[in-house]
Amino acid sequence: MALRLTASPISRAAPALRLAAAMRSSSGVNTRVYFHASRTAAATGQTSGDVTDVYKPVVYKIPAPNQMHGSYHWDFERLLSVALVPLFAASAISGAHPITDGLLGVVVPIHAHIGFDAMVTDYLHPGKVGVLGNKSINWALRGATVLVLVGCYQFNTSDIGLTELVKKAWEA
Amino acid sequence: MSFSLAKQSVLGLTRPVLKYNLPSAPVAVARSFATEAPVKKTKTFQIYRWNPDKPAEKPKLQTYEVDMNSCGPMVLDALIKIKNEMDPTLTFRRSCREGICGSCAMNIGGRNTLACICKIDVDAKPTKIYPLPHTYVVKDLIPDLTEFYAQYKSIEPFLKQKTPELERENLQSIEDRKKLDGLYECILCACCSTSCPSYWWNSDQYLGPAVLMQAYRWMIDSRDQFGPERRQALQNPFSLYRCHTIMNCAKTCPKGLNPGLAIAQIKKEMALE
Repeated sequence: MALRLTASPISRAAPALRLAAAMRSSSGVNTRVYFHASRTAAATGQTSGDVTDVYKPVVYKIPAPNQMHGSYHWDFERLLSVALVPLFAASAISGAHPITDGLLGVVVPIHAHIGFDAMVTDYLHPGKVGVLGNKSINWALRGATVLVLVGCYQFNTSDIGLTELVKKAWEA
Repeated sequence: MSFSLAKQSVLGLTRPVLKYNLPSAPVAVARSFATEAPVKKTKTFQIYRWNPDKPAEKPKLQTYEVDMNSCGPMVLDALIKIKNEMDPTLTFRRSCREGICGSCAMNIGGRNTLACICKIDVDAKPTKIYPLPHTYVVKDLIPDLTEFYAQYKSIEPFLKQKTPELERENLQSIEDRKKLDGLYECILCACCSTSCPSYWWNSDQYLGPAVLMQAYRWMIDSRDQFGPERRQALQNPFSLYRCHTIMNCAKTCPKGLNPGLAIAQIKKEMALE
């Protein structure tokens, strides 16, 4: 008498597991596995699986190494942060000076850009806002940084300069 | 002659127990200590429930009242008691009951820890028990750790050498062995990774503190010769650098390890390379 494996308690008790396996095996390696059977049922219209569904292990793909995005980026970010300390100190102590103002007008916008870029990478990645959304946000950020850089330059050269601005705002 | 030191009524006999009347013989009487009825101590647990066999039903918190007088001190004892006596459908992973296998990792009272070594807080407030945060739930308190294990596999957590195998053991000095203390004890319970907000938002690309700490464990193993290659594999914005030193991992580790420190060491080594 042939034993019907589909009647076993294990296969009966884990429709979600087999369903997820079915999704995985059909759509390639690096895909998300949805365990909530409600989602998978809605997606595939299937509410029960089969013991022949093979559980393919999820393979985690590491992107190609690129030091510009990796340790160099990290080094640069820390370098800017550290450079800001003497810059601010110099501005605070000895007041306005074209060099410190100029440097501030470059280092602060780039530091802010890197900070915002980290936020965008963390929260506004393609998985969440789509590839187009992520690209447009990144370009908008770059545009904004360029504008701020240009603005700071203009302000430093043809107006009172950043340190004076802060002083005036402080004492206003 | 047979005599018993027990009271007659205890033995259920009708004849006198002492055959020989020995007035001076000390007769022991079965004493019963008069005890007050034990103070009823109930602890309320609110446990996350979801059944994949009825997927349309939304997950909910189910309340259980457990008599603490007949329950062990740890949350796992309470869970097992609930499963045995009140609700056999409550589902959770468990194995060693001593904090070494990592099966019973769950969120208890807002903190990721192992149920078997988490003492029940017997004050009046109900304890909330959830599965590990931001994980897909297989059933009740069981998280899907497939991606976690795939990420662990991707860092190649085994000794890799370039020189041919020696005829003898791979020798290691005591100082070099000390460097592994605090790293090798990880039981891969996933408490730290699932407590990391960066891992919540980017678990598909960020490796997470547990896996990164194990990557470091192999990087600084003096017997391993693939350190530079292991670091090279992390040269991208996501695998390592999504860590922003939030340090939830070190706070929640049930074994008292410090993945955040290990990650900082990796960053340092990569910065100086």
